[in-house]
Amino acid sequence: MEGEEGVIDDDVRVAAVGVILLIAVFNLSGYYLANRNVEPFSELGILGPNQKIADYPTSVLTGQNFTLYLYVGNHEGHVAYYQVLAKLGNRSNAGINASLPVQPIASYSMLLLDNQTYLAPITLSLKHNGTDVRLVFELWVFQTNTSSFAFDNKINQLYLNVTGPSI
Amino acid sequence: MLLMAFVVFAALLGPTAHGQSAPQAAGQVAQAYAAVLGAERDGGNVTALVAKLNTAVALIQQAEAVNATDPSRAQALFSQASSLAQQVLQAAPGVAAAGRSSVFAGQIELFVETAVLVALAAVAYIFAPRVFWRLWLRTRRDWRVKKA
Repeated sequence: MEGEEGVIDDDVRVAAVGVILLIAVFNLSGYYLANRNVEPFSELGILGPNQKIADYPTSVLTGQNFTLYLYVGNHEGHVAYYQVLAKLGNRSNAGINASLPVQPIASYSMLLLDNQTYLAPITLSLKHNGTDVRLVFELWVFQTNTSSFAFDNKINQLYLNVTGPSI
Repeated sequence: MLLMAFVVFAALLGPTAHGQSAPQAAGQVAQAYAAVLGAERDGGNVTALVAKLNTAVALIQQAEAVNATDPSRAQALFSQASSLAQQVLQAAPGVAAAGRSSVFAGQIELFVETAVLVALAAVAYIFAPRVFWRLWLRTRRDWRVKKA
């Protein structure tokens, strides 16, 4: 009988100490894993004039303003300094996930906290007419080691028919 | 001679000594961004600094937009942007220090919590069986034993 009681005592000890140690482990892991970002990434999106992934313009007049929404999200685990460059290309340079070697027609810069997103309207107008004009948005991220922006290999694109006389 | 050299130097610097150019303002924002990153790494709350830097970035963009048509206004905007970036640069070490203090306080709190839990585990190891049997008896105090 005494032996049985001793076994129960040990079980009670194991259960009580186990529960407390479990709480301690949760407490410690919570502290060390709280700000860990296992898969850092950034987001780039272009939304239509109604702030949706729809209703994109397909045809615009030369020199006429049209509005889109620019979306950028930061999940890098730290503050990030972004630049989005709007450039013009064509079908021949489509499919290449590299920065277009042309001058941007517009640029947008912003700093975002970790897990912060940016959504703002952008107004553009195109000066030259053309068919299947490729409007490309490139995401660039500032690198402190080089003190310059580096292409983040993220692009969004929109094909437009630009009609009317070139300006 | 020295005074003359200074006057010539100042004249050579011209407008850039008074106002700011786009690369200067952008460079200061870049420096300030690096300082903000450092402050954040140290655990500082950089929300206000980032908001200020975003204003500086917006001012630079405004300045670049009007630079060709209204250079004096552009200059003023570049100067404002630089001033904001400077403010961020000056504030960043304080935010970093506050962050380090906060992280240290958090570590102390964690250490104390862990120490308390370890002590609680030791107490539980010693007293848990006694408490268990006391509760066991209390829950069964109204029990009656029947003859088998």
